[in-house]
Amino acid sequence: MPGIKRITNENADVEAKVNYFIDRYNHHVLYGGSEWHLELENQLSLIEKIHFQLTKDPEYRIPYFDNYFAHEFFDEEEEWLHYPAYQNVKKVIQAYKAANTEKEKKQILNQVSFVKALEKLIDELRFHMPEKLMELLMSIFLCVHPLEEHEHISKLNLVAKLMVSEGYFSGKTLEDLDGVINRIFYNGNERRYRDSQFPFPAEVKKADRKKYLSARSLENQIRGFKSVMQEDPNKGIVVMRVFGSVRLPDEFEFNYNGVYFLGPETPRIIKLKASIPDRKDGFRDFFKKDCFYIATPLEWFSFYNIKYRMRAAVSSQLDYFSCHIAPNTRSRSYR
Amino acid sequence: MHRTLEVDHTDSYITASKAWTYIGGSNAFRTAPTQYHPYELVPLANNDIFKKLGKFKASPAAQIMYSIEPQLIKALKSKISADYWQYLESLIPPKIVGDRANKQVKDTVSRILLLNEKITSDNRIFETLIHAFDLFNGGYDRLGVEYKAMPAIQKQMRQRQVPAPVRKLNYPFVAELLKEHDAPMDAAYYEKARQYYQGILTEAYAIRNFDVHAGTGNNRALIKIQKTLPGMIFRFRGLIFDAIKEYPNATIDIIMGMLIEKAEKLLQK
Repeated sequence: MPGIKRITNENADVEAKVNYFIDRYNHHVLYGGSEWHLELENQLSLIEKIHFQLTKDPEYRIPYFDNYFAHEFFDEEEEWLHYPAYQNVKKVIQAYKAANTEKEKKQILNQVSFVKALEKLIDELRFHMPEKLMELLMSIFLCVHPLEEHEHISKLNLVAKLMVSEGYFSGKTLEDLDGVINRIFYNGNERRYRDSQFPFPAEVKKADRKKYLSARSLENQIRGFKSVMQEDPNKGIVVMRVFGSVRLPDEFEFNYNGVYFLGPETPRIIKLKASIPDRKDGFRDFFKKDCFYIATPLEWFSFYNIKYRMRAAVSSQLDYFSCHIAPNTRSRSYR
Repeated sequence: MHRTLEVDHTDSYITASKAWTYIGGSNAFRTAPTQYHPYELVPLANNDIFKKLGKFKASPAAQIMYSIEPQLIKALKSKISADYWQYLESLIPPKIVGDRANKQVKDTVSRILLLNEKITSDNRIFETLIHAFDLFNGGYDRLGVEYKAMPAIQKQMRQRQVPAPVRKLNYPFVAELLKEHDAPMDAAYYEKARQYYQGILTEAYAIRNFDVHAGTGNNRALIKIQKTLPGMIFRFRGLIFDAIKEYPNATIDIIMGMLIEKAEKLLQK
């Protein structure tokens, strides 16, 4: 966890606000979920869950909707102001809350227009939430009133909660989110790895990056929070080794439910090995023939979460593999 | 039986394009295992229920805890909501008379957790403060506290007391944490906490019904539960431990009943 009070600014009020926000952000990264006021939730996740429950479970189990609709986000109008589609959703929720019987509630949920309204709102939130959060943050920082006035503290708490939640929900790890502040406030553009590079907005061209950062303007930096939220994951095939005293035949290749199990001399592995540049001689160990390979297409954000994602993505396929190569199951073959 | 196969636990992987050509990767030497520090191994002893409740082998409640421990380990490993739920239901069996099985778990856990709400909150606040004044990252210096005063300050904070120099400090984030620390937890606060836990358990139960598998990536509900529920279960389990130590002859039903009664008092204050 990074230390506190790290930012300096010539304007003491701005400095106090930015530092407060950063400290809060890091605090939420570390303790998000542990107490009611540190919940991991934002409008997008809440609406998505309602939509999921509504479309995937035809029984309309009322306790779940009671639970979602009771969320404090629905008590506040202000946080939804930027999303016009909310008005149609709100009408349904209010009608639902006013209903007395389960039957009535189910009828209200059953309107086709509710699903449509939720989908429209999800689109708006996906598209606009990062921008709106960034704008809100900027408006607080630049407000002439100090941190202690105009509910700035509670608003900054809220922005931190919504941003951190979005980070976790997009599949990032604690390490990724821990690094966000460093990436935004302490980095040049020359960093080789994306995990430690300033999150440049998409509209800033590569050639302009140096200029963008050297401007040292707060707004340019705060924009980083928006692009962090909009970052697309890396995509590719991830190859890892599998150990367990099993050697597959050199050219054995098997694909089960999207996951490759590969022997050490299969065409795919040979091609991969040949494509590694000479300067990367550290990978020699990787191709020692004391293991076999597992590979699958994957999306990931960073060095930190590629491993977790990979293990989660291949776990059931690996279980399948290990169950069916065990000695006492060999006779169980279905023709 | 199955053969135990393990995906490489070092940091070695290669990423490739669709055409199986090298994009990047990370390489760790096989011969270098991950080095664990003693403090990283503390959880092993801390969570060992067989040692922790070793003196209470005769306790009927402890026996139940022993017998269902493998279910908790299975859940921690699979991270599947249904597995966590199975553990909770074994601990809090549904009442035979009417009432839905899930209701029992939600009401019980969401109330009993209130009993260490204050400790949980204080731990968070003081851990954060201790880190804020860290000697290594220079936090004490930036906050304007003298180096000489630091040992006494850190010691007091470890004992969960607010040192005078910290109290006097004019730094908003620290002031906010102290405000949280000082605010008395009243019935309204506890009610909010109870609703939060009830909500998390309701969401967990919804996921359990969908039988969503771990690792499906972008499922927001799933990520929220995975980041929240295990912590709640460990807190809950700790409270039961303490109660067993206090009342070694009580059955688990009686213990739950007593704890709920205590929690109800917090909600009525």
